[in-house]
Amino acid sequence: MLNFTLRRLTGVSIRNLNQLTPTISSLGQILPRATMSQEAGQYPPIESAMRKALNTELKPVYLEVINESPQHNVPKRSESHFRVFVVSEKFNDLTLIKRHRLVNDTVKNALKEAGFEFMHALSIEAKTPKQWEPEQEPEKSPPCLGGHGK
Amino acid sequence: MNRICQSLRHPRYQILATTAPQSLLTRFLAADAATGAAVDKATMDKLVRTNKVVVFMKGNPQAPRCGFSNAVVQIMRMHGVQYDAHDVLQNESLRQGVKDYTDWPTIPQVFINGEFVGGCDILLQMHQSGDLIEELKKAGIISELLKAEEAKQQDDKAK
Repeated sequence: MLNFTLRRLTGVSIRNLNQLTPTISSLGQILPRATMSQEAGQYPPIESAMRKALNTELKPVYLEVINESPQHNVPKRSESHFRVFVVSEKFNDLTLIKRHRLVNDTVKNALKEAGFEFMHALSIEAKTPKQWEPEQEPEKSPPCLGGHGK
Repeated sequence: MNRICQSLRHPRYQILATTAPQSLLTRFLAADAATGAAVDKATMDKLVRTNKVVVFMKGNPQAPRCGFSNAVVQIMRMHGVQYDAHDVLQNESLRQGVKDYTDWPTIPQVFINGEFVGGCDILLQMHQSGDLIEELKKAGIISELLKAEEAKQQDDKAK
């Protein structure tokens, strides 16, 4: 009973975290999903390298790569802030941290090969097919607070 | 739920973060900031053990400079965790040092009992699943959410 209640208490998404206490209202702002315009499946270079590597390495059941750079104080058409939502069998026996490491390393190697530095921010949701509900949307990122630099 | 909200509004829970012991900070700030080199592993080993929970973030808990760092601060606040916070924006050598130490490319980074737990995404998922309460318990920290729930159950029994 306690465990169930705890999970009910702590099973809070970033969307409604602000309902718990006023001190955390800034987390709950739902920001519009920011994606760059694509023409005929063409993606900007960094996003393209990421997608290719993640598809090759993880053979995902579902993959979503969202460029959130427009939500941040960066030049237009920047590719500095990304969110990755990926569902793959490869995560089946991996802990959360190992899943994230796998995604980080895949992206890092792909960008290095393509001659890019690692991006400023990469947010990851890595799920197994069993954990994934197809209608589920990725979490929204919290608002930018102006932290600067690489 | 209301009880939890009220308890978390209590001034006692508003500022739970502290800075690391000054001597240690001064030592690497002076040495590494001067050379521009990343903070070395030995210093990092000490830094991540200055408290049961240590957070490397952008800004400080009173004024986070990044939404992801802010999210970590708020989760810690909800659980009533006392922790040491290090602002990587104040020191480039610390920023690079912690990334090298964990082989993790982004900030914030959270350590519990000297062990790297993850960044904002992992902490949020642990919070959602209830795993964070368990992880804190292993470190000898009882989450305020757990305390509030137990208090509520006691009240219900009394009625």
